[in-house]
Amino acid sequence: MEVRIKNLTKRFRNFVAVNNLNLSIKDGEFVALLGPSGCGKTTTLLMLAGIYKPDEGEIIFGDQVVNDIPSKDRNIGICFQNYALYPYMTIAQNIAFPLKLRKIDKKIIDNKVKEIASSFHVDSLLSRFPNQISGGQQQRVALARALVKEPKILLLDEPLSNLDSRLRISMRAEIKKIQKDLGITTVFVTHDQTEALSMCDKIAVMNKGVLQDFGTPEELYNMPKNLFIAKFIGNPPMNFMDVVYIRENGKVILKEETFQIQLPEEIYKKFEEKQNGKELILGIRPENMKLTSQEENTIKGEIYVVEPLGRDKLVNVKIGNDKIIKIIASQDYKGNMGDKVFIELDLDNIHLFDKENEKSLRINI
Amino acid sequence: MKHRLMPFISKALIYIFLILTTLPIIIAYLWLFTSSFSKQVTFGIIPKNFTITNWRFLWDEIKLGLTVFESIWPITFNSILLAGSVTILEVIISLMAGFALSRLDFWGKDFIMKCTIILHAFPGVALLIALYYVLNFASLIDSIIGVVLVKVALELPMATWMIKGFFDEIPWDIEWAAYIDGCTKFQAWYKIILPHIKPGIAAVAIFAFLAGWSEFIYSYIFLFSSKNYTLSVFIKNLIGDFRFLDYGLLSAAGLFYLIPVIVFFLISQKSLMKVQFGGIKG
Repeated sequence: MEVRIKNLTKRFRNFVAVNNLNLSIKDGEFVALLGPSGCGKTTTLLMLAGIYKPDEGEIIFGDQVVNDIPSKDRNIGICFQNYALYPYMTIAQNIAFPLKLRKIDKKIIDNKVKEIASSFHVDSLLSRFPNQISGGQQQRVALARALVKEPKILLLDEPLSNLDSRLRISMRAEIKKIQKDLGITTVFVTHDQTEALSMCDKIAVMNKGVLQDFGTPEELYNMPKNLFIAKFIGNPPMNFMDVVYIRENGKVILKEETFQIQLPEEIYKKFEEKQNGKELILGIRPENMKLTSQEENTIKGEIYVVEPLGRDKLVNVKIGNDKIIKIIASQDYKGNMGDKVFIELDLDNIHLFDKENEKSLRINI
Repeated sequence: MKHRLMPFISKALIYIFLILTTLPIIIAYLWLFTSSFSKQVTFGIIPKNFTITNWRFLWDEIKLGLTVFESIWPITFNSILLAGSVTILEVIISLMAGFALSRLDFWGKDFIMKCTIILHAFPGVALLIALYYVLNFASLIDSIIGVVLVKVALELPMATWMIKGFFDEIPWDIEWAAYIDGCTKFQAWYKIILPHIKPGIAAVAIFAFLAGWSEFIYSYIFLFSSKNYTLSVFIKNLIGDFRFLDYGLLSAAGLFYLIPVIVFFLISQKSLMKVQFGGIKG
């Protein structure tokens, strides 16, 4: 079902948790609400669930405004971080609970419970209690319970945060598969950008109650609209350097204390023109740099430390006195601590941000 | 050798201290038990001449001097009625009040919570005269219901606080999940939340029952016709005339008064142990 959020605002006393949020989620889309804790993503989810009432704005499911419709009539399924299984009920009773409340015939309930339990691989646990099964199993049961009533919308509130890292990675794929198989509109709250990038069709990045951007993982990763998104998305994170924008004789140069980089025309045309001497922030991802021995148009530095990551190496290079830049190098890179190196930037993939309003200078085509 | 002895001695000292401090209470109960089954007791606790005549109140009417006491069974029934009603009323009201104080946000909530604490700290005896007037006005004087209402009113703050603590422990997302699964507010309270606080309900019920069962001062003051007497008043009346005080009878009656409490405790001790004043253990 299509979900639209219009000018949604929620306040707690004087604190604005969600500020004038607008989102439009297509039918069957898997959308992440991504942001640091306290950014209003869970509040938004709970408003979708009907637990919190919006102070302003509208939530529309399909073509119906649901602001005043109680949770029980919204036809949604939810899965919480702590799974919120009912501890005094067996797994079977837990899964059957939403159906029982709908006064469905007992035989049909039994069949449905068995069916969904086997598709979530928890059919052997039906007679146990939640505290007798593992975290990953509880997770599956919670999903089964959320989906057994065939809801139109699935809400996930940090469902993977309580799992160990191996299980988290396998559940990531599994949830994505389930979502695609069922084609159910899903809203997924997370603070983990890797989860959002790897699972979702679209990501809404939020900070301090305000939507920063709403786009596909590729858009957000390749063309972050502001400094917050650039800092938040990507692992290892993007490198940032304070530079001065210099235009002379038709050339554009980014100047820092210890280096200067000249931008070719086809690159600087992609960005807004700024006046000479304007302070900017240059951002570049670790994978968009190369270590070379060539001196021209590069950054000079000294290897600070090398972290082998298995598939590749993360080289920390110190430039100037205290600035550390992280660069991804191939597995066979042979550099040692203290070596002098030059960093070549892949200029196609640089990002420039205004230092004052932190917005990207990229001209959107 | 010395190393092994030291912990033993310090342990022994602790035990000796504990035994000495608990001895008076143990002796009191022992005296109660033995003297109820014997004609005479020597050295305080050693019985002589086994008898059950002290327990004659169970099947006979008792005369002490000129006073004739009524049968104990209607009086026992009164006590059960009193304690039972206190329990039921207190549990029902405190469950709803505790839920409201724990889960809902409303104007004046803090004030109400502070008031309940102060009310609990208020000595009930100081209210006797005022309560007498109130009960008299409501024509509830000399009726068990009147005593029940007074007792429930005075015990409720404590019970509500206790239950509130149990409600506080329940994670919000369990309640939210219930709403989203299709529960109304009442269904969520009844089907999901109440099962969570069963130990709390048991604890409140036990405390309420014990408080009602051992209630003396209000029963003694507000109940004057003998058909409304409760066991505590009955025992007080046995002592009534010191010239004819029969210790054997008194201890048997006291023991009889104690039996339901012991039985009740044995049944419910598991739940009682879970009470941590404000939470669920483990």
